Amino acid sequence: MTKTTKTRRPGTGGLQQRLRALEGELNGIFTAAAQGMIIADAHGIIRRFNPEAEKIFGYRADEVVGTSLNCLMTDRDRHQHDTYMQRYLKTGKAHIIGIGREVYGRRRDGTEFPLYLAVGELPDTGGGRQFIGILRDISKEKAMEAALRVSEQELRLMIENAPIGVITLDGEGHVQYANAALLRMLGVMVDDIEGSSFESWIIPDDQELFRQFRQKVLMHRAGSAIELRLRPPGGELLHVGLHGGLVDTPLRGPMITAHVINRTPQVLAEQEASAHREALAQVDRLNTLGEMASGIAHEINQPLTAIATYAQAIRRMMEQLPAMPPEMHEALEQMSTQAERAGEIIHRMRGYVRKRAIAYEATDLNECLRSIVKLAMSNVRENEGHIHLELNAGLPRVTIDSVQIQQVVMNLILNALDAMKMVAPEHRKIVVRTHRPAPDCVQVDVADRGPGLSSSVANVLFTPFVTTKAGGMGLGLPISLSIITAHGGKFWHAPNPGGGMCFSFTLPVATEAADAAL
Amino acid sequence: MQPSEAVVYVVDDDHSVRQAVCMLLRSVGYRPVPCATAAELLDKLQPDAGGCIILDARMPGMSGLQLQEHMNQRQLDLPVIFITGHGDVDMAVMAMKAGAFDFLQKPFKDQALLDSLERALQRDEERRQRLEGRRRLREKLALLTAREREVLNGMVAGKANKVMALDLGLSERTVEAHRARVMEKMQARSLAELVHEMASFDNQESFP
Repeated sequence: MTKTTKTRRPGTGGLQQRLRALEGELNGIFTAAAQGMIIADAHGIIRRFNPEAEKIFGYRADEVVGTSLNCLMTDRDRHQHDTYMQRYLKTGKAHIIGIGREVYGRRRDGTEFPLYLAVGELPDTGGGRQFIGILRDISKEKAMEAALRVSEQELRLMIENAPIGVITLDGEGHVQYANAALLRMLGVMVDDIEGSSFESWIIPDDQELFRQFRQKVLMHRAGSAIELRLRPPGGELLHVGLHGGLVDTPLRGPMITAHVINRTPQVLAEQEASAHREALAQVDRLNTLGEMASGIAHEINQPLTAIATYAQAIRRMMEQLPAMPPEMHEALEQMSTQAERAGEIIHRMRGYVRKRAIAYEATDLNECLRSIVKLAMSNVRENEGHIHLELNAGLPRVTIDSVQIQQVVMNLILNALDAMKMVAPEHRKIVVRTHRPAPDCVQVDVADRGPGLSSSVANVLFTPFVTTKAGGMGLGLPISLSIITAHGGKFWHAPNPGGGMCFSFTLPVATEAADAAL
Repeated sequence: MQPSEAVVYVVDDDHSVRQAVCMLLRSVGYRPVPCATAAELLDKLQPDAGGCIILDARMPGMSGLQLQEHMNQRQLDLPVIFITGHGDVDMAVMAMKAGAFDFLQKPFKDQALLDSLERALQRDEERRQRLEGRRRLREKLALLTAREREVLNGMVAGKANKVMALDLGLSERTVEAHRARVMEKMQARSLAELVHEMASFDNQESFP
């Protein structure tokens, strides 16, 4: 190096100029740097102290230059600093140099604070070994980090103890996290589920649905919701609602996090209601068919009877005449035979329809009514009506086919709603009442606030195929009448005091109960 | 009773059925009385004459079943044959419980109706004969004096004259004389006949 300097001697002035310029630049950097910079010698004596370091430590440069670094350190670090320095000087192995680490500093006012420190050795230019420390006050970051940790802990606690299930799935659909509610829902331990493929918990029929859900969330980065059925090993089938979204994590890639809500009770209730509705509809169809067959049988059997009987009367009269052609006898005989055959067909048709199982059972009538009113609520709401139940709590049990009786009441409620279409919604009130007018029977009233019935309509109310409704078959009330009659009850209607109509029917009380009341 | 004497009431609200059934009945020699309603029947009914009612079970107004109940209450005992287009078991059971003679489903075979009708009239005839017998017995009994009645009771009970004489405080000869008059007034040819006649009504009516 000396040689080189020598050969360039003519340009020494230029070199010095350049050195000065370099020194100036370094000074500028040193002064303007947003990081604290401290240069110290191998004895830990501060040589330079930049303005940012002044700001961080609260010392002016002239106060600390020439003094030991010790004043900037905490007691613990101070001791370690000496150890480190000696080791480095001895072995040349740096534990901090060129790496940087978090340490604690001490300000002029004695407060300690976290700082990030990187240390490097400067080239020895003849003044002995020198080290530069570049440091940054990280107390704000540290405080933020701590605050974040607290809020993360809070969040974690909240999620862990949330009343609904929460689940996190990695990009492959493996369970990364499941909260306590989800574990309870599935009846499993955390080790059973974490790391497993979530798909394996879903019943096979719904797995494709779940794959589509995942794809939608991952590909389109859109939140999505699905209904799934889960089958935990050895557990009951669960109906759950899954609402999920995408979380992009820098470390673990895209993850799906989702709420899992147990909808099993609602789904079972819905299924029950829909089965109930289906049973009613089935009974309704059979009753309609039965009533139609019955109506047709009556209408057709009359003329058939007349035909058959006329033919036989003529045959018998003509037999008394002298020569009756045998063919005529045969024809008249056939006429009545064929009419009887037609009657037989109708009879068989009715027999077929009647062959339905009627299940008479001792029943709590109020319970039976509550259940059908619940089912009718969607129709009632749709029509902006209201139903009031006035059920007498002390009723004895009645022996009925509750589905049939429910059909009667459903029919009356729907009729009442129809009747009140022209009435202002706030007056669309239906009262369903039970009471016991006599020891041997209980009575059900279904009263509306409609316009009532004209006598001409009232007269044909129970005649099959006569209706005032567009699209009606005119069988609802005849069927109701048939059902109540078959139960040994009476069915009638009367004006509702205060406006509207009241349809009522009675059902006989089982004899022992009636006797007990006497 | 001959067919020509029997009155058969045909009650059906359907004109054609009513007319056809009446025509059939006339063709075999009955005298049908058509009625369109239950009320018309009650109007035309001659309770004392023999006969039978052919009744449609379901009619507007008073139904056949209600009519039957009404007749039961008024002790109109004519046999009723129900004919119905609604041949369901429940109705048949109710009709038979209410005392119907028969239950036919429309359309029926003419012979089935005629057979049923013949049996119904036969039963009605028997009933009427029983009534007649009872009426005649009551008439004959009315002719007896109180003493003769006591003797009759003794005879029916199988008591010997001697026992009756002792019971009634009469001489045996007097008892014998009463006995002869009882036989005469009761138009009985033998004691056995008298006992039989009395016994056949004994369980139906207490004698005055």
